[in-house]
Amino acid sequence: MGRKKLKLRRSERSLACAIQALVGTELLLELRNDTCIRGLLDDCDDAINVIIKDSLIEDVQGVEKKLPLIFVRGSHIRFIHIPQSLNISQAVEERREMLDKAEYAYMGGKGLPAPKPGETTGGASIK
Amino acid sequence: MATEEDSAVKEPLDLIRLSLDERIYVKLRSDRELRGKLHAYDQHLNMILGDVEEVITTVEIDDETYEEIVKTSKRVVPYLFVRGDGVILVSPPLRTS
Repeated sequence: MGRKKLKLRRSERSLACAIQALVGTELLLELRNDTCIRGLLDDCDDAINVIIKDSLIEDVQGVEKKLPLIFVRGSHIRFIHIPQSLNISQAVEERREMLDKAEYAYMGGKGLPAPKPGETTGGASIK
Repeated sequence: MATEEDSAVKEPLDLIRLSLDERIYVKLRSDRELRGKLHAYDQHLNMILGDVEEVITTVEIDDETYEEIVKTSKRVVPYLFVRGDGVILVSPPLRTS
């Protein structure tokens, strides 16, 4: 029985895809040093390094700071509090569809590999 | 989120797969414990838990009597993503609580 080998994106091989699906929502991060950061998730990569916008940081002592743009290393995160109203599986599926569509469109709708810079034949071109 | 689910238990992570959508007990580093419903997990043991109760245990030593005072603090979080590098063990919930 032939089994098609499923080639997954690197983010989809772990739960990083779930966090990437939450980009644009407000989250509460709890770091390993007990610091809490509440803000808008701007970006997330495969290692769950995140960029938070308009953040409110509260450390263990209770000191609060407002920082417009911060980068947090993924390894330093302990928890991410997710809003319960969100349907995570639906958000992940939607993101996956969006990425598939974007890849398909980039390949000129033909499924060919993207043209190397300088080549004129095949694929979409920007005029 | 697997497209093809094998019901055979081949490796330790498969045991966690059996607990999907069940309540589990998770022991974390820094003397923390979680009890919640397992919604998702991955090979790093990153997990998404629902209706989580977190218990933090601290031991304080009295200055005069030098006895150990064990304190616990609890809180409830509706929906939580747990990063796998903090996880020590995962188990079905203990019957004592």
